[in-house]
Amino acid sequence: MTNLLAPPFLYLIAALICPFLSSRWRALLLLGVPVFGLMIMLAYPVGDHVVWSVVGFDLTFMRVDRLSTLFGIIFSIAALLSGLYAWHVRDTVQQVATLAYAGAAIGGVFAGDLISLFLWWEGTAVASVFLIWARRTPASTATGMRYLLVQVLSGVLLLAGLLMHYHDTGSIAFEHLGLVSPGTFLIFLSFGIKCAFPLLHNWLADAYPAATLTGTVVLSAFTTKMAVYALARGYAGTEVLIYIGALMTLFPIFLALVEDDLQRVLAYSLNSQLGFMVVGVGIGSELSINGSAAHAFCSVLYQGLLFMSVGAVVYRTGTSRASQLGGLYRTMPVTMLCCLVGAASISAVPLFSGFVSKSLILDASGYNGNYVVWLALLVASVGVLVHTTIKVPYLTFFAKDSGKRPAEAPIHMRLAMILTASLCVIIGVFPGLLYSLLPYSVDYHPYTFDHVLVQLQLLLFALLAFVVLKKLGLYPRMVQSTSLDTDVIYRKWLPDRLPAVTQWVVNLNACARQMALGWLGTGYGMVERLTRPGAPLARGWSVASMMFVVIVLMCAVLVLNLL
Amino acid sequence: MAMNTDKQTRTGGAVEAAESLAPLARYFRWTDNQSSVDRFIRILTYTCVILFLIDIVWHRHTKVPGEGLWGFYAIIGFVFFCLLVVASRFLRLLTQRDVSFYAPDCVDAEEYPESGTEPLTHAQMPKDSLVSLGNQMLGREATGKEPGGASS
Repeated sequence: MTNLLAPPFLYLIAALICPFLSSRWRALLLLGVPVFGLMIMLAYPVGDHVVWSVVGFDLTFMRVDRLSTLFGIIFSIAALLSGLYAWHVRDTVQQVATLAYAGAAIGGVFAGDLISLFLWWEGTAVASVFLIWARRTPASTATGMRYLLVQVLSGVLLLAGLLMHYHDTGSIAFEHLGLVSPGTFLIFLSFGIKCAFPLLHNWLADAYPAATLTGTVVLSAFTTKMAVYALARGYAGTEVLIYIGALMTLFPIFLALVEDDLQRVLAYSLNSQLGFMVVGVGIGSELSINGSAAHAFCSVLYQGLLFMSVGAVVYRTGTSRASQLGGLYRTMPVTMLCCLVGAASISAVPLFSGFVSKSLILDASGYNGNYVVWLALLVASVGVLVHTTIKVPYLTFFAKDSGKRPAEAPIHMRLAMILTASLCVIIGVFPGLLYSLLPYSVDYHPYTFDHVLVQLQLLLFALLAFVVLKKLGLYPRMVQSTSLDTDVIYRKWLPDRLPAVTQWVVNLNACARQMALGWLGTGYGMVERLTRPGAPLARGWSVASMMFVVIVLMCAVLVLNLL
Repeated sequence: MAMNTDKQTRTGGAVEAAESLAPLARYFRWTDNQSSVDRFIRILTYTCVILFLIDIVWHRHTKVPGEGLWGFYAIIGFVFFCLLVVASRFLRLLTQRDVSFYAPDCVDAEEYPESGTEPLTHAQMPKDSLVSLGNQMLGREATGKEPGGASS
């Protein structure tokens, strides 16, 4: 097996080939590469593979173990399903970005050292922003720029952290790091940004609704789960993660509850689910790490399914605003049923995927003695029911009749949704299939009478509360609006209150751009002067001169290799 | 739309031609019928009562203090659902702004680009199937939309 056929490189090569193919072959490439990549991935034995020595560092591009393989499998499945969902898309930019993004994310989870992790980390940032810019509106361009700034900041922190860590320890290995030095703290912060820790989370709810409807499905699968993987690899058992995770599960609930845009509701919902995984990583026991990995696996599926169903509604109606939707079950029943499966999975209804993964984390939290955190997770489970399980399907497909009678989603979208929904149910009914892939051997039985009983009590009484509030007229009606998040501080309040600072930043930006353009112009002018007729580079060189240049280049390569 | 009264159904006071319904949707028409919804609520209530009673007769294995109390999960589910919804009503007063609040730098104030959608009505629903999708993949028929636009 040649190194270039390793899954991450396979995706990148496909992304490079993609623009030169016809539209149908490009769409087929998006289906074929994940399947082929998965087959190659599963053929790798456990251990380090594709190790390249670069300027004295051994970069490991395929560190294969149970944890990385689990994430690699779900990323491949997500790439395949999103490729099928986006079968109608003929936009080369999106197709290339999807392949490069999926490849970078898979590269990230198989990276065995911090340098290659950094390369893939930045790769996901650069590739994914094109899924936002592909919407091609002024607002999506601005949103994409905000997204890119945050993502690149995360990469810069990772680079700074790894340099400090290397200086301290002399190692670039990506193993357990722990919060033991300024370097590991910076790396932790970098992971925290991509994992959308509280107050570092704004990019998620800002950017996901601004992508194309197929781009949102792709975005929902990779970046945040790669960050969960990185935390599980580097910071398992770090206690502060338990509290960060608990907070993560709770605060997006309130933001999701008041939000009118259903894609943003789902983004907050995703953020809340990430909190469960972070708690599991923070606890650090075998049960909890298994729980986090299993929940990440299931979350990619059910969250993707929810984004797909809302995306199908946008595809047919042009809007994802709850205030403008309602009663769509009449003409979009397949989309509605798939949405219900996603909603049941996310709220951990027995026989659906969320139940078999969330139970692991809840039990690990209970056994760990973190009772307040355990209660927070329980409340967050109710919150998920409020803002996603009931709100998204109810306001979209039932509730008041909006009068809209859109056609059902196209066949490829329906097929992608049905396949994803089937996986959610299969995992829920046969949890052993998922448990066999988990990092540690599992002796856990989710379907005990106690488990099913308490989960049904929690969910059905919450549903009863919804009915009561609805009868009393206390359940809020959605109105078309924008809901403020903490990013209002730097997006609106500070610029409005400190115009001098804003002007200074604008001037600095203009100055930097002018300087960069000036350098570019100078460089271009120099190239032009050197290459115009009669210029030194355009003249015929003597053999001796050419030999001299070759010797200088070879010496440079030799020096670089010795460094 | 053909106004054939034979094909009309009356549910919840609303009259709708059967042609405007997808076949699968007929199984969910009860959600528009108030008496059916009331029956669903009654079944839900009885189920909740039974689940609560089971808690009294069944000794649950617990791992957290207080978890063994009768109806612990039921109360958490009911009370916190109500609290979260009520809290959201107050929070909305603080956080709700007009959609143009961040304009022009936020997608809230703009429509999704038309070129990225295919806003067909139910009556215009094309006859697509797995066979037609397979044919598209094998290049035996046109894929539909032409290149260009946000997601096309």
